[in-house]
Amino acid sequence: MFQSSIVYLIPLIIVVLYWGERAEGYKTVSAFLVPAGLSFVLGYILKKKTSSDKIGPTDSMLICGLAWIVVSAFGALPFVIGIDSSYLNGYFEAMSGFTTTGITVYSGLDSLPYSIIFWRALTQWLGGLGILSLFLVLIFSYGGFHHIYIAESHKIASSRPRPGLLNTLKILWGIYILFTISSILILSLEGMSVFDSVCHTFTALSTGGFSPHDISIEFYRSQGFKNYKLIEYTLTFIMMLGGMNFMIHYRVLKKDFKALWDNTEMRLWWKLILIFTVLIMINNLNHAGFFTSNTLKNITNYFGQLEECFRLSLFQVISILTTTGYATKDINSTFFPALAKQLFLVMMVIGGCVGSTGGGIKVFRIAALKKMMSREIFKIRTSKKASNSLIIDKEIVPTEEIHRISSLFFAWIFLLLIGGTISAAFSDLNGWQAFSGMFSALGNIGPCYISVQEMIQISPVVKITYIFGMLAGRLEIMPVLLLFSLKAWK
Amino acid sequence: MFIIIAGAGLVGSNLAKNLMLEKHDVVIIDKNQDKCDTVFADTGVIAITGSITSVDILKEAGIEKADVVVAATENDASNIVFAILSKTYNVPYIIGRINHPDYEKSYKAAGVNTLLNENEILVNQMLLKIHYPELTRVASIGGRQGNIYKLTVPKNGIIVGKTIKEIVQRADFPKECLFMSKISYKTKEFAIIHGDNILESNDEVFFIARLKVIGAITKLLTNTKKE
Repeated sequence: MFQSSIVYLIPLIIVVLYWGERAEGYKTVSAFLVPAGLSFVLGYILKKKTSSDKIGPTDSMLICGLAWIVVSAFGALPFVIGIDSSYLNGYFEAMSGFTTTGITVYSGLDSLPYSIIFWRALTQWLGGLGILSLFLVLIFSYGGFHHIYIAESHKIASSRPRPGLLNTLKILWGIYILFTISSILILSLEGMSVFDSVCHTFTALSTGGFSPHDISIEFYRSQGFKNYKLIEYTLTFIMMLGGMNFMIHYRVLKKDFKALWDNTEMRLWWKLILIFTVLIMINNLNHAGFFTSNTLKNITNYFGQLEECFRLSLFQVISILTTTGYATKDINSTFFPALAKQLFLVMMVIGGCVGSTGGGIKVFRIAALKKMMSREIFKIRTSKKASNSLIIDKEIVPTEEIHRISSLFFAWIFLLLIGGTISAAFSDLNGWQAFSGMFSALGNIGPCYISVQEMIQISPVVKITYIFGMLAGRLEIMPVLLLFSLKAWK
Repeated sequence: MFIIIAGAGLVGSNLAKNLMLEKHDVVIIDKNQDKCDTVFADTGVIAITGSITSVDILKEAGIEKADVVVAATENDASNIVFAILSKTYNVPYIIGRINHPDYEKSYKAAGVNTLLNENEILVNQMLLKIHYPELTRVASIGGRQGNIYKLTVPKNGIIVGKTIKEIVQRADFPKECLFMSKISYKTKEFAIIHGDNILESNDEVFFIARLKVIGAITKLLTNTKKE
């Protein structure tokens, strides 16, 4: 908390750089100085008051849950002071940022002060950093089973890159910062303005999805950028990096390329990307009459259309699956027919890999749930005395973990239903739109079938529900439910 | 094939792993739950926890449908009971792992088709390696009277560049030996060899020989030219 006051000072650099442009001025300076001052004071008080007793798993979970709530409370202030937003909208935007969700309640982004735009991107980047740290803290406090999450289960001795929580944390942060710097460089080289490439890198790597432009990445195509195809492919790649387990990145950087294929999660990850992309491409091409029309006669046109369809489909699959939420085509547009729209909802539930900055239930858990299902069939088919443990990557998954995964899955579905019900009850949206909102909030995605304009006008009850959904999805539900359990506070 | 293995120790689980890779249906039985879980986690074969001498367990494992059973525990008495029970369920082929030679007749009486003694196999290989380090025995024929061996032709060997005919006609070539095939060092190809074929250095040559002439043939094949 104490140190976090410094964070608010970073956007001030941007204020100075763009002084005078887009209503940048004393107002935006105070927008960052006020929260900086407040969090400094609060941090000081907390430091005086808290005793350094040992922190157990319950405490650390509570702290994590609270941290996101408190940090967002301060993070909302720049929006409230800087652009005269209501506090609820500011809080919504800040929570959406820090949980790397990317649902926005502001439009006209292209004319907002640069420092505010930068602040949105920075919240997501910090959120991503927070998630990587949270991931480690949680597995270290659960203990025991953590090595399977780090996906080197067959080499127990080297299950963690290097022993110790702090060292692992340093490695994760190092990789995150390394990727950030190289992505900014590459995007700038491809013709994006430096400001845009910083913002996009911040929000792509953290799988957040805030963009400085109202129409997201489509901006570069519609503005006729020369390298727009390259920019789209590059961003696809950066989002994918953010959605993969950072321990895999560590192994790949150590030249252990087998890491990309030698574990259940990664294999399922590639398969999901392939299957979803192909299905959506076929759906789109079929819908556009590609297979029946005469385009086949014109070869250049043929490949052109195929490449465009591949690029847009792949971009959107990666964008939704990693829970980033950029768009090169609005997912609500007719470019994506009914099947594609349904698949997007499925992807929102699945989410990224364990140990990534992505949200959702996580690919690993989907793999585990799938195995649990086939195990039930195996049990019926074979002798009761036969071994029937759940095996992932040649490792037995403890019963405890199976219970945790199944209850998480149930809680997820349950919250989707509750969220859908509330959205429908408190708005004029149709059933399909209302249902999609909670998918997007809980999975920390960003876009849904509710347009930004509709989202701005939506009832405060729904906004609060989504704020809760974003937090619950980010912290994988249990810590949030813990906040509401009186016993945990004792 | 449907194969049941009794005993999930090192021998049993390794066998199960290899059979699994060859796409056979494998069931492994062991009384130790942990061993069963490990082999299941490692290979995915069906691993049943229970006694290999219990008819119930054997039925659970599907003994009535088994094509081959392997008694691979370190306990001869259990292995024999398992073999007898398998025989009563008409298992066509039973392999036994004998640990102590005293049980050999009992295994035969129990109806074991093939009996393997790992100590004996190991000891024979060790003896061979001590006497003739260059030789590797590939297979035994006629109760170990004759064996098939593998040998790598040395670099400056006196037989390098000679045809099989030339080698066989030498005075020091023992009569009770026959060349069969070689794997060429250059082309990595396997070939059945005849009189006209030439042996090159580093070729792997396979031959069959009676036990008593091994010394002579090894000496001939590994002799090197004097510089």
